[in-house]
Amino acid sequence: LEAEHTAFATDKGVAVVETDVAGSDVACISKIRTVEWRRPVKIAIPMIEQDINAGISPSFGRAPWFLFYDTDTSESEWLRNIAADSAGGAGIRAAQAVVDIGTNALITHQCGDNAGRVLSNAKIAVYRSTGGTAKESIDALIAGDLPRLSEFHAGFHGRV
Amino acid sequence: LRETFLDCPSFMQASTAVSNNAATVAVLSGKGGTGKTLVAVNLATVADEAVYVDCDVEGPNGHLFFRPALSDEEVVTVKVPEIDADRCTGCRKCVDFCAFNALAFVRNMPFLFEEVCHSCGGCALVCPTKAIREVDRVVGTVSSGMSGNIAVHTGSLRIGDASGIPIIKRLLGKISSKEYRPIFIDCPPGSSCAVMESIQDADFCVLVAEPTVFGAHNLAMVHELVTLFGKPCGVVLNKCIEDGDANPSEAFCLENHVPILARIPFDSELGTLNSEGRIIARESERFHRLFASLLGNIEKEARHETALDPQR
Repeated sequence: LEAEHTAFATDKGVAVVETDVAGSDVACISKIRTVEWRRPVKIAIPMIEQDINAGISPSFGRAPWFLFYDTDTSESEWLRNIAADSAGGAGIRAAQAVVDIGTNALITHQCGDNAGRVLSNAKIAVYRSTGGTAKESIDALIAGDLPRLSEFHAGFHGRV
Repeated sequence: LRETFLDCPSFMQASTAVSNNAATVAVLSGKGGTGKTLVAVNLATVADEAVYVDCDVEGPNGHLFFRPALSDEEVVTVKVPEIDADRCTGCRKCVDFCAFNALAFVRNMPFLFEEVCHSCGGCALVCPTKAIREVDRVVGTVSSGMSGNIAVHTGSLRIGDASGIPIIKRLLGKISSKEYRPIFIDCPPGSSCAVMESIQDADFCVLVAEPTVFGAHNLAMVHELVTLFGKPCGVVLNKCIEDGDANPSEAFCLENHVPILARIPFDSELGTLNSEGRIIARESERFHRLFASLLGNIEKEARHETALDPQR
């Protein structure tokens, strides 16, 4: 059997599991051979300005910037959010950028249901910011103190 | 109204998809609940022979007043892509092509958001393996019927769907190019794309406004929109309180030289009749006079505008 490595995001961090190809999800728990608990490696955060000590953007899809924080190297990477100026589907496009960069977790104040579907399909854990700066939220996530985002709003879908 | 517009050669020149010779009056407001349906329904009633089009497809309620005998109901569909997972190679060309962000790319497969799709068909064109075909998706209905002398067209968006524009397009397409009766368009609230679609072929716009600061703010937005479209317009001040506080919407009209076409009182008889789904211009002589006078004022203003701008 071929082994497949999958990272599952959970409340405690990211569980890297090795399954055989026949078992594809947590439901097939008996087929998991090894489990390794890790902190999220790459965390995405929507930001208004390029400053890790600034607050998190109130909007996910239309935030001007994304901060990608690497918990292994403590390095920050900044990406301009090309979705911010989209006429529609900004959340989908922004979520796509977060997926494409290979993120494990996202910290945000809120997130629309379309973006939420892209993120959950890509198995990216979405955490709800409890306020404060981006750095404070990252530290809280690493300490296991951030809650998962449980509500995805209906989105604005072209209604301005 | 009809005769005036029929006699007016500039309106004949302004031949549009909606009307070649009848006047099309759109009724708008910056927010919901200001009285668009009240005004549009009663205008059509006093015009006697008229066409009433309910473009407020997210919550059409003109039919509650007219109770038309339905003669025709059509299903409105749009095209959406259907992806054949067996043929898809995960090349991502469709996702990158989509200008509306209706396709995401997760785990090597395109992932469609139907309600974001604008039915352009581009994804099917760029797919190198022909894994995408376009299929119909129902987004709502358009129904038509008569209520006395009034032709009533109602559009209804399927609950949960985001854009009423395909339904509004179909609704306006139902109006004959040879229509001789005046047409009253009950627009969606606000100043969004759906409103722009609804007023495209209008000859005159009636803006309904409430006597509040918020009402004046919304009036300013919708006034900006119709100005952008170069449409002549006038305002109906609704829910006017006699000896009440100053009316911010009235102040806006005076400041910006927007004609005030009518004042509808904040009136318990009106409220009662209207909440029972009865047409106030039919039930009460004073309200019939009010809307007949409004219709006359629209006619006057429209004539005035065309005199000022013969190109229109």
